[in-house]
This record gives sequence, C-alpha cells and structure tokens, in this order.
Amino acid sequence: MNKKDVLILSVIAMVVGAVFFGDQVLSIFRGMSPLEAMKFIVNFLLHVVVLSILSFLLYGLVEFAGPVMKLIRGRGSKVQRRRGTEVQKVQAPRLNTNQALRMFALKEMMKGSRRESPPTAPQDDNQLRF
Amino acid sequence: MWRIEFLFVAMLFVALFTGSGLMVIVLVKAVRNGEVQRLWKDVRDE
Repeated sequence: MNKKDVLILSVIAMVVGAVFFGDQVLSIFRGMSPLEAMKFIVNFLLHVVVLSILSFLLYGLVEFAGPVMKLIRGRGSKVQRRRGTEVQKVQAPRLNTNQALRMFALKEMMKGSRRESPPTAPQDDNQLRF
Repeated sequence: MWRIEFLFVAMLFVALFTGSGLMVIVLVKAVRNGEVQRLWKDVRDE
C-alpha cells in the first residue's frame, strides 16, 4: 500500500463520515453561541493533542524502561554471584514456527525414508553361497 | 512497514483537520446568521 493510496482512502473515509454524520456533529453546536462553539472545538483539539502526546510518551517509555529493568535484574544476579549462589540458567533454544516446522518435516522425512527402504538383500551374484 | 508513530501523527492530523473544518463551518454559519455582527456590536457598545 502506497502513501498516496492511504491519503486517498483517508479522504474518502472523511467524506463518507461527513456525509453520514455531518448533521449529528453539527447538531452539537446548534444550541451554542459561536464563542461557546469555538471554545468547545479548541477544547476538543487540546484534549486530542494532549492525549496523543501522552500515549506516544507511554509507548516510548518501553524503550527506556526495558534497559533500566535489565540493569536492575543484572545487578541482582551480580549480588547473587558475589554470595556464591550462582544459578546456571539453562535456556532451551527458542525456535520460531518456521524453524520448528522445518525440523518436524525433516524428522518425518527421515522416518519415512527409513520405512520406505527396508534393508534389501544383496542382489549381486559375486557372492555365491552354497 | 508502518510504525506506530504514524498512528499518533495521523490522530493529531485528523483532529487538527476536523477541528479546523468545524471551526470554519461554525464561523460561516454564525456570520450568516448575523450573530458575529451582534457580538461585535455588543463589544463596540461597551
């Protein structure tokens, strides 16, 4: 999807939204004086801006909090090492779905090849048994 | 690949466009109804 397509789609969505919900949105301002309506709109804009900035900061906080948490955990393990209670972490190798499926397919193929080719008797006649 | 930052920026822009559009509509309606002129007259009288 190109950026231009997104722009066109969003414009179409806005036009459709304006056609269907224009009256409902404008009816909010019907009982207001123009100053009140402008105050309402500016308040709405401020709310959206502040909320989006806060959510953006919250999202970006993960990148800062991750290393800090790692640092704190690392410190804890260092203390444990000093005390002599080192715990060996045994981590199983993590495979993604693709790798796991590939391993499974390989195993199945090996099984199948074993079943399909039973040990055959030597058919050459350079060994004559009497 | 779209990043999530794009969503926040898009949200901001949608709010900005909607707000400015609403503002224009409200102002045009108020000018047409003569409410702006009345307000301006009140301000001038004071």
